[in-house]
Amino acid sequence: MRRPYYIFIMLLVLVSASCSRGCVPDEYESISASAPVFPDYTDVTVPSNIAPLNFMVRDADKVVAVFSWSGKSAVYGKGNKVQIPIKEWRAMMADARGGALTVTLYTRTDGVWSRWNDFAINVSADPVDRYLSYRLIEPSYVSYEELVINQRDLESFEEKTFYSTDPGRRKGVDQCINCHSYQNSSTDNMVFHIRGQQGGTMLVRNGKAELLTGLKRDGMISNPVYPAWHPKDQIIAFSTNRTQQIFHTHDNAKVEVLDYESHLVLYDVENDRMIPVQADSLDMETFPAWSPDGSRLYYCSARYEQQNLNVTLERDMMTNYRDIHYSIYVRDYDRESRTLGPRRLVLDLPENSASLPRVSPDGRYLLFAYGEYGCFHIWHQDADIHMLDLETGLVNDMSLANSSRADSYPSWSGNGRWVVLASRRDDGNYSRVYIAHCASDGTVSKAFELPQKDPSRYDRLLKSFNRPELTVNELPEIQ
Amino acid sequence: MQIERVKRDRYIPAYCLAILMAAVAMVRLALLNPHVLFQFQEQQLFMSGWDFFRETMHRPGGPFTWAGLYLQQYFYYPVIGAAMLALVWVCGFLTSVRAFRLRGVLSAVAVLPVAGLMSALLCTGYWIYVFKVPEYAFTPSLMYLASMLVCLGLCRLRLAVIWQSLVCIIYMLFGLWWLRIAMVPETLRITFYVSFFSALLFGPVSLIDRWSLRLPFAVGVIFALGASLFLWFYTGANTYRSDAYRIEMVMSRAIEEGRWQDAVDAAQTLDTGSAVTKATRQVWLMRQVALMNLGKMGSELYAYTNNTVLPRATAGVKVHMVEVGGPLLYFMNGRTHFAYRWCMENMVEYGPSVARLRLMTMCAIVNAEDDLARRYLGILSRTRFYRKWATEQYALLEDRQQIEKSEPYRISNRFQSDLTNVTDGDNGLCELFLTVSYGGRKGVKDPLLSELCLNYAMIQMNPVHFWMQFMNYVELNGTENIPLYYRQAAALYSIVDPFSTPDADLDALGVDESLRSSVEKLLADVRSKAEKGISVESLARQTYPEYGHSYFWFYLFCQDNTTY
Repeated sequence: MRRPYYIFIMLLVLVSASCSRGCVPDEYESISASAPVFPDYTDVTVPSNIAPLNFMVRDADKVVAVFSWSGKSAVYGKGNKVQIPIKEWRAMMADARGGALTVTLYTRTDGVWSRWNDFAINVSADPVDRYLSYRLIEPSYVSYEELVINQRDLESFEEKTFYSTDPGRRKGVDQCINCHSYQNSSTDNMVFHIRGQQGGTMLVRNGKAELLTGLKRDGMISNPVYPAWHPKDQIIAFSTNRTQQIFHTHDNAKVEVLDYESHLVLYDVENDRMIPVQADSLDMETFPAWSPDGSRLYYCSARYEQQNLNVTLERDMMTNYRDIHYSIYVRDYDRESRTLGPRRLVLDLPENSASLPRVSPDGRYLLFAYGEYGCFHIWHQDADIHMLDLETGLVNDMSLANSSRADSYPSWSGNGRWVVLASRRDDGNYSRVYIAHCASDGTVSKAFELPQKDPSRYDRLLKSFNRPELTVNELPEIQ
Repeated sequence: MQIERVKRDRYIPAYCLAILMAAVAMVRLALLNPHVLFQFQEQQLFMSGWDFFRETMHRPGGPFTWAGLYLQQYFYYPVIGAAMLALVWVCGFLTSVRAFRLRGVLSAVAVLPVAGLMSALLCTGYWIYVFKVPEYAFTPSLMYLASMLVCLGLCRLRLAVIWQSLVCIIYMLFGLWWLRIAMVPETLRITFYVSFFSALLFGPVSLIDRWSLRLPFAVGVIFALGASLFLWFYTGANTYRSDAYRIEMVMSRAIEEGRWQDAVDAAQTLDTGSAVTKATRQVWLMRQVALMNLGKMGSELYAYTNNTVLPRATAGVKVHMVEVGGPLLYFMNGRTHFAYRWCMENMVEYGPSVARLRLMTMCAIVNAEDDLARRYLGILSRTRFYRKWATEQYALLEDRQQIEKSEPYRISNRFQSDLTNVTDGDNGLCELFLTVSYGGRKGVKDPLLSELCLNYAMIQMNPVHFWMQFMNYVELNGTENIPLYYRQAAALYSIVDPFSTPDADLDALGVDESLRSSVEKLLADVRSKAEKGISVESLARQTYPEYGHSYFWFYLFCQDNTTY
């Protein structure tokens, strides 16, 4: 009498185990439409070392996904989510490297199973830098409270907080942090700003951190703002900016961020010396970015002449903010004398505007955020990422990586094969990290969203991922 | 046996005290302050699911925070939430009594922590809107209960009183740490100190248990009654009281639910029938919103006490309307972007809450940001008491034509087509922005919006703006049956500033001689009395019976109404 009982129990366990990942339904309706997965991982190209692309189907109560590759297959699905164990995923990716996974998706809604069009996940042979850092911040207006710079291991789901401004942790000290930036995708030399109480610029050199205060020198209009560390020297190009936020009363762009004035400076780290960059007083120069060989400094510049002399410059610019257009310029840099030459126009945008230029590691391409006007494109729904071919002068098609909503903050991986951007395509307000493959000829694939262990995290997280930056090593521990 | 029975019987005063304690709690909380309880759940967010549990574990208080937020949502029904909280207190009280053997008269000392915890809830005042610790209501009480349960578990050990006292010390230290790390305002910490420090008395007091057993049984009962009276009066002394504070909450809820007449009726309860007022500007503006939706702005807006006072601020709080009812006022006046902005700013400062998320959803719906609305609705769908509301809003996204008919979207949505975009800021002053931006607005085409602009011009007391809005109103709404207050204002401005008065047949618009006579009579009366040295306050009181419910009186005596 006991034996059948044990056999029954074993069978039950086996069946449960086999179905805990989902069982392929026998009967279903075929739907000729793209699988409604969130995040949208249909037909994307991913690096072989990325964490599992876990996804969900929001409107389904049950999901089963069959992953097929190289004659093998695996089935996953629990509830309305597909969450793949990391070890199995890594094995899958190792096999499929250079090829593709094919995903067959079944969903059940109101008791009815449907099968959607199969989709591919192309597995690139190009790896992506292991770490991604970003600031987590509400898409807020003026207030800030708990900001963090987090580091995410792209090969797993591990996320660590590098720096937090939580007043509870900081004994009531009120701070804002921004502009984390690295030299050559390495955290050995990095910089970020701490604004507010006990603030300054945190400089990490060879892994050691130092808080620099008093960087605002005579003649500077502000503390240093947007940084770019020279790829070879201990020189950081900063912009200095006099910035103001204004708010739309009736436009879904919600916020405009204007620079009333901006200039470039070079900071000699070893000698603690600020080297001003000469420019016309009417030109606003900002967003410095070095070429990979350190011989050129790219940046954005706009020229604004006051239109209504009966009001202040600031009021005039607040009224005519749509007339501010930034073009892209470059200056040659002499490493010996540590001086910049006269500027040259790279991309003229009299009717539109560029911001946040970033040169690819091979020096061939220049990514930038592109919009109708202004310099703070993350609030502009029309903003896209563009790629300028510095050899041909042509702008490459990045339509697969862009969306109909704000796309901004582009940056490169260390090998130049991946582009990271912050995008508000999900809902128009909350920025998420997207990664797209960039082939050596500049072809950019469809972007995919940074995978999360639980894909529903994006639905409940009320913070934006801001300024994503790839690094090859971990962020150091600092106090 | 006899001794054991005596010892057991000496718990009877504690049981009586427990019942009285529950009664005091229910009366103080559910009967006298249900609006405060409801607001506690408005200012917090609890989501079902393991993910929220895991995230909450990282917050100060860990599991107590999670449990506190879970229970706090039941303040949606104040009686249920109050009963739960009372149960926590009673259990904590009885556990401490049993753990420390606080029999007879000694049980009175166990009331102290509960007194502190109950007072902490009742004394918050306007802090309730600007807490950085949304789990405030339940978490400290749960920590207290947990500590006492541990003490009960230790009561059979050798030298139990030492171990139990150690637990009380840990409870105190943990409580102090929680106060600091959760950034509980200094002014509110005092009542918590009563709770945390009084627990330290249990150990020493329990040592005199043998002595207390010698006292007559009746003494214990008397002490129990005395302790409950102490609880009643102590919590009463610590209760924040303000009619306007209460009415603001009642009106906000009524307005958000589209119960316009309820909002008007609530404001009416503040009407003193004299020049002395209890209403705040927020109450006044919410009444305006409610009357606008009832179509009675022009006929009833000034039919109440017209002047206002600043909110009675709790110690340490500077009350800003944008942190209280300002976002809702912005929304109801069609300024959805500013409503959204202040919800976001407040969310950043004070954390997400069901109230802010609801309003942000409403703004997103009106702004046609459907995906953003769905984000917030997804979160609200995971709450216990707002998932039904979320389901109803999803339906609006599927059929946008319903928004034009649904409360409270109807008017805000209607205004959108007549609003043009400018870049501007409000400097954190909601009423001032509305008054200036609407009072001076040109080219309004919507009849109701023109009426709203007219009302703001009247608040502004700017004759140039008034006439611009008045003539536009007449053009869009017709010359028949112009409401009384608009005609009163026209009569007033035609006399006090004839140069700004347009060349129009005001008589044909109902601005007739009787109105002008009223103005002139009032002005003459005020002038003559002022010349005799009668103060403005006295003039206001003296003229109130005849003119108090008129725009004239508002113009003369409410110029110093301070916004905030």
